Amino acid sequence: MDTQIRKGLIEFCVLTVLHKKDSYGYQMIKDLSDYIEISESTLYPLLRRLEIAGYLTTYTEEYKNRLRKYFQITKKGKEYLYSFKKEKIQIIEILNFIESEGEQDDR
Amino acid sequence: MIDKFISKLEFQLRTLKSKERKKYLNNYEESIQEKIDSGISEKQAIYEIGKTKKIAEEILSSYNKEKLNMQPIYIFKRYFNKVYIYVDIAILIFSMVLSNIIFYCVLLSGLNNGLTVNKMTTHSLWLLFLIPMHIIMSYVFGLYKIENISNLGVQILRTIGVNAVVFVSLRLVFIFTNAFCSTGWFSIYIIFSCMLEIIIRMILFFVSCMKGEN
Repeated sequence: MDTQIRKGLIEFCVLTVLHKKDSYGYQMIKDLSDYIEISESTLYPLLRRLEIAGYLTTYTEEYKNRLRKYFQITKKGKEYLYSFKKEKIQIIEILNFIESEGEQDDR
Repeated sequence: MIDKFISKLEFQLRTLKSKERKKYLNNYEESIQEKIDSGISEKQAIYEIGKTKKIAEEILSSYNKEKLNMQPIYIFKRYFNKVYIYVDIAILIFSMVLSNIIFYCVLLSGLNNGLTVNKMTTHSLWLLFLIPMHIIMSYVFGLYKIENISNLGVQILRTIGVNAVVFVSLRLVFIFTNAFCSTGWFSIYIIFSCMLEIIIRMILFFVSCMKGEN
């Protein structure tokens, strides 16, 4: 899959995870790895991008005598996620078109 | 082992701004710690995280190249700052020896202004005080920081700053303690060390530029 498309989709996966509850890097990888292939080196730059864009904020909490960094979705992040969900039908239509045209070419 | 990993990653991410770099380093440190807490060994946790070079490539690829600090950074070793301390110590000792030689020559020529060879030898004792002070000041001025080492202008200005501060503060020490130290000798010493430091830093900078170690 094209890297940019993949990264874009993972962004929404991360926002979806955070929409349920605040989470930290390691936990997010665990949550997402059942569905997609993701590593720290993909996740952290992506989280940073979302943070810079204002879709996420961070805070720290003490855990086992160390600080754990939590990510939290912002109002702007939620709106961004909703707008993606609204466009879901259009995305599915695009995917269906690509698939059907591909099948015709194969014949 | 974690420290070594983080230090390697820090080096690979050297083109990022320090605040940005620190955020990534904290994230990775936390991730390794989480893996260890989940029951795997430190070695395995680091192995699972991956190689620092690949991690850095992936992180840096998400940034616009224009936003990265692409100024050349010279490194003969990853522990460049330690090398720099040794270089600075060598420069200071050399300056001390050179300024003493000049002053002995002045003594021999008869233009000694009442100085004696015995008194001159006490100059050498200032080495014990001068070198640590000089190195500490260089640290305070950030001359061993990777961000500053990548910028020749900053290095030159700060080197001059360090030498000026050392000169003024030690002159005050000499005055208040009535310790013997010839102003002329001390001035020559400071000028030598300052000039040598700038020249060496310039040479290292340009050599690294030619080698393309950026």
